[in-house]
Amino acid sequence: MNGTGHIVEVLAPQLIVVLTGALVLVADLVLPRREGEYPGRTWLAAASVTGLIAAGVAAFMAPANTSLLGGTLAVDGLSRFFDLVFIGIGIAVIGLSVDSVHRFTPWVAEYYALVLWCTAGNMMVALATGLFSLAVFLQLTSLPLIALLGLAKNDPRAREAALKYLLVVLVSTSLLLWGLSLVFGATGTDDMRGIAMAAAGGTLPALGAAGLVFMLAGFAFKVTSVPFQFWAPDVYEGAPPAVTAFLSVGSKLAGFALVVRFLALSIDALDISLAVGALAVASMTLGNLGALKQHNIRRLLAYSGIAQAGYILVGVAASSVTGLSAVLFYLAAYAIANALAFTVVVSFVDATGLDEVGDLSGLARRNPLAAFALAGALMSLAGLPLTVGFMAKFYVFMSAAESGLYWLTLAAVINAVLAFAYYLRIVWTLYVSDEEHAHVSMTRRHALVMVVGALGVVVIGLFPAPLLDAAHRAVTALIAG
Amino acid sequence: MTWLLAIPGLPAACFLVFLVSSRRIRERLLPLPAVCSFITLGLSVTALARVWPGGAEEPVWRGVLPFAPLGDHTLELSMALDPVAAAMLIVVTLIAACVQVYSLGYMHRDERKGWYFGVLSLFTSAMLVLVLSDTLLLTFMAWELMGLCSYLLIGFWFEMEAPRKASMKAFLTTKVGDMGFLLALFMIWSTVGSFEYRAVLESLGEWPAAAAAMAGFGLVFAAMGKSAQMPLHVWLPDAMAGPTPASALIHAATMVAAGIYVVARMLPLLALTPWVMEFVLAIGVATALMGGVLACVQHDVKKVLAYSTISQLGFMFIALGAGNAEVALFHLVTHAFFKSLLFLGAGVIIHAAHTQDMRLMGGLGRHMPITAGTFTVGTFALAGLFPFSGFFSKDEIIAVLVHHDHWYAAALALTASFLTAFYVNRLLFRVFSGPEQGELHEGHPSMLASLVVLAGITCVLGFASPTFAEFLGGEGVWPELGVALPSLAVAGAGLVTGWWIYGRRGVVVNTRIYKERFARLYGVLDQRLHFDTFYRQMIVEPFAIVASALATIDRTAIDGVVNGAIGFWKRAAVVAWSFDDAAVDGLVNGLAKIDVSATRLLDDFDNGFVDGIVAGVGHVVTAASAVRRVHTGNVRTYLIGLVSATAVLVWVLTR
Repeated sequence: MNGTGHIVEVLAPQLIVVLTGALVLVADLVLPRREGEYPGRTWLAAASVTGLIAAGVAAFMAPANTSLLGGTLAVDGLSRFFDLVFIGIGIAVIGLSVDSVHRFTPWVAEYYALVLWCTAGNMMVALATGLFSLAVFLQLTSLPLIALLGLAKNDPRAREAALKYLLVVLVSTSLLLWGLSLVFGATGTDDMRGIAMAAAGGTLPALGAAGLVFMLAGFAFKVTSVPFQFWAPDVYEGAPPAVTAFLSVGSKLAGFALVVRFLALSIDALDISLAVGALAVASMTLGNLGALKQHNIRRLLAYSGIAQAGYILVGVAASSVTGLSAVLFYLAAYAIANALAFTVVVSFVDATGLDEVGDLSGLARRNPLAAFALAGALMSLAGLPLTVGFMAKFYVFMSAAESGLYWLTLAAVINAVLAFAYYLRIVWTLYVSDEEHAHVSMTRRHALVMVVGALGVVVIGLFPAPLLDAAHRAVTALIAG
Repeated sequence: MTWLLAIPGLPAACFLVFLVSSRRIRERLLPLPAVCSFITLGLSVTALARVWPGGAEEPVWRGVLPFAPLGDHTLELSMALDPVAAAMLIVVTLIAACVQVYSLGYMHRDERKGWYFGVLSLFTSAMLVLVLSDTLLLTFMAWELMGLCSYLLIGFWFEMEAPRKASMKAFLTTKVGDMGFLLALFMIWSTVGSFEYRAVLESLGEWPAAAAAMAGFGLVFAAMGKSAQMPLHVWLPDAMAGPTPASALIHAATMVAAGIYVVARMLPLLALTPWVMEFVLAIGVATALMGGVLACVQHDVKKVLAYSTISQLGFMFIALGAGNAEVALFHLVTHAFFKSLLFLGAGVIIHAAHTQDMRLMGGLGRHMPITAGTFTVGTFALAGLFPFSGFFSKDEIIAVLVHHDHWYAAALALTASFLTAFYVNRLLFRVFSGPEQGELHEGHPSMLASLVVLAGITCVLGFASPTFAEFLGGEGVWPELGVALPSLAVAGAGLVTGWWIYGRRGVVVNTRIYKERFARLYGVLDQRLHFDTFYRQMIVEPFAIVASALATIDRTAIDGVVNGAIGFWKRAAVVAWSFDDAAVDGLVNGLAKIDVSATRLLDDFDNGFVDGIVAGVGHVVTAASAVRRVHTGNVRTYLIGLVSATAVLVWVLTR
């Protein structure tokens, strides 16, 4: 069963994405260029998207529920779920950067290749069940991002963002590796379930427990949870907007993919409600308070993202089947809404070069579709009914209450109200303005991404059953198996 | 009976049509919402006929939509038609139809009236969903949606400062109440595993006391926000910044009654916990009194009516607190009709007088007899005079209090009805009596038609009181003389006092006298009992301070570190230059004296190597200016934070 052919068959989605990246690089060498003109760049994007779609099809067809490489990789409902989410994110990011990549970097093909490889890395992280594969794949998601952030080499803010991200990645990775080695030394296994069992049995020495905390730090950096959130506002504000969009959804979801798998495998063994719940409260509160007074839209979305990570951690803290299904649903809802919000931001920055909240004033008249899409995305992030964000928040909070964590539910509900204040302020800015501003033009691709995103927010909000069902099945299968 | 879905469906469809169409098409479709509301009214009447004669426990019809699977349970969105829902359907669709027709006249000059009619339709749809809803989940969704519509309509004239602020205030204040709703929902789910009304009410025997108390209190808290009970009432007077017909529908008749409606349906759950019921009663009494007092000192017609609404909602809370849902609902229904009548009348008055300030009015009665007549009907119903509807419903509330031996509450409720009669007469005399003014005109026929319909209902509805109670499955009784006479006497006393101060022949009302004589009291009342001040100083400002502090840390801390780093690099650059001057040049000069050929050699060296160093130092300086942007020191703080946070976590978690 474990021949190379089998591996290729099972990992087809990931391999397709990686190979598409390579193909894009090769094509870049071949495609013709004229003076300052590069007509082939659209084709590169088209090829990337085609590759991602092919990978999505492969993800549907690949055999499910097998494990590879001595049980360090698991292909199951959870990985399938995340495969599709990451592929969707990849397509959206490429779709919203086609029109602006060449403006901030000369290396268009490299940009697409890095996005693809980072996507592949995210998909691989969702497969990992062993510590060492996990460490490797986390690098596969982080390293392309550093390069992506640095691609805009003429923009000092982007260089700054790249450098900061690099340093934070280095430190958190060292912590993670240190933690992994301590845990391995303490338990003698690199399998997540084995570690959870050892921890539950009370046989874990203090150093091993410390190792687990170091691992937690490594994850928390990825999901921008307090106290590992420092870097997010600076990096989000400095990076090219399209890369920020990618960072804010792709990287965060990869971190949560890991958390969900680790927790699902250790759900009976570990009681992490209190620790994770405390992190959740801290993240929500700090993110929401920080966002209240921000004027830069990207910085604001960074703080909002910290708060959103907090809400998701509420479901993690519930550590139940309901909680984890709710987390998966929330992740998909967050990905759609946040990607949609950033699509509008990218489009706006492309058109005007401005990124303050005040600059968005009167957008409803200057570009109704963009204003509607941004309003929908923000209302979904805030959790208004009829959007996907409402059901997501509802489930997550409900799962915490179901697990008896009433204090956590209360904190989350209070935070959700607080968050309305700043989301609503932006929506207000969009629709209300006294002075006339020039029309904001928008490319057709951006419009397409916006329409698809807005439809996603509303349609899944009205009919959440299929997505929720998929999330629930993935989690139950994981816990049972 | 799936045609019932058309009742909320039609207004929702209207909204969608208005949402996607351009302004020009909207202008042509303006009568569409009114037509739709008449169709829904017809459907509601048919629905009522199906339920008649009521009294049944089981709903006549139930429609279920499996919404989302959740483990072993499935969340369902379901609607059901029972007597309560059927009665409320009539109230909502009838008033909505009146308001839609009235708005055609009232808003016809407004530029964005298409949007107004669209949102009004969406609101109607949400309210009808709430009425028909058979699960708390769907109720909550409709509840939130109504909040959004209320926000949009209060802020409809966003060009002005007051509506902007008022809309945000209304949204966030009711959101605070919604926290209670969410918590109650989660509590109900973890206890019962279902959101369905009947499932919850049938499981009451199994509820632990603490859970019942929390769920009950959560619902009450939510209702306090939505139904503007003290201390969460502060948004309703400000909400009057919206268009007057919208105030009539949303902030008088329907949305603010939603809290009462939901609590009335869940009343058996609340009744499990005696202190929750006492709390409801106390809040109701306090709100009824406070609303009455503040309504007496307002000068803005709409604000008088707003405080009056708060006060009357307090009466409904009193009935709920005394444990009688049917009585609360009957007052809800009569109040919905006469208060929307008053608001629509106020709209005509404001249109004619071009002001909302009563001090600038007077003498309008002669110019607008229909408005004056219908408005008087409304005010008499509000004051609780026989034979108008308000008399019957208010009398029932006081009778319930007397029968349950809540003597204090009954006395205080009577005080509140005295205040009601007083401010009612104040309103009437200040607006309608006095010398004639020139150039005033009666309202548009479409507006007057609505007034006449509502006034007619207000005149006769009271006599349906026993039928209504029996229809809901309760016990129908006629007013008892022992309660009705004192309550009429109190109302009469209030009216006479109002007349004595504001209506006597030859009286000249001079508020300045009171202002000077009762300066301190006046100040407190003028500041609306300081609720807003309290919230501003105790909640809004502390939050703003924390948020500003975070924003300051976000900026200054970073800049400080960057400036420090630049200082460091400057000093490093100076050291490098002096090293270059002293050491390298000295070395070069010294060597030059020894040998000329060596000097030439060294010249080359200097050109190649030392210049290299110099250039290198120059690069460092360039880099230093780049550092301002690179924030190296800043990242260092981040990393120190990261590592120390980990250390703290390790310490906390492995202790």
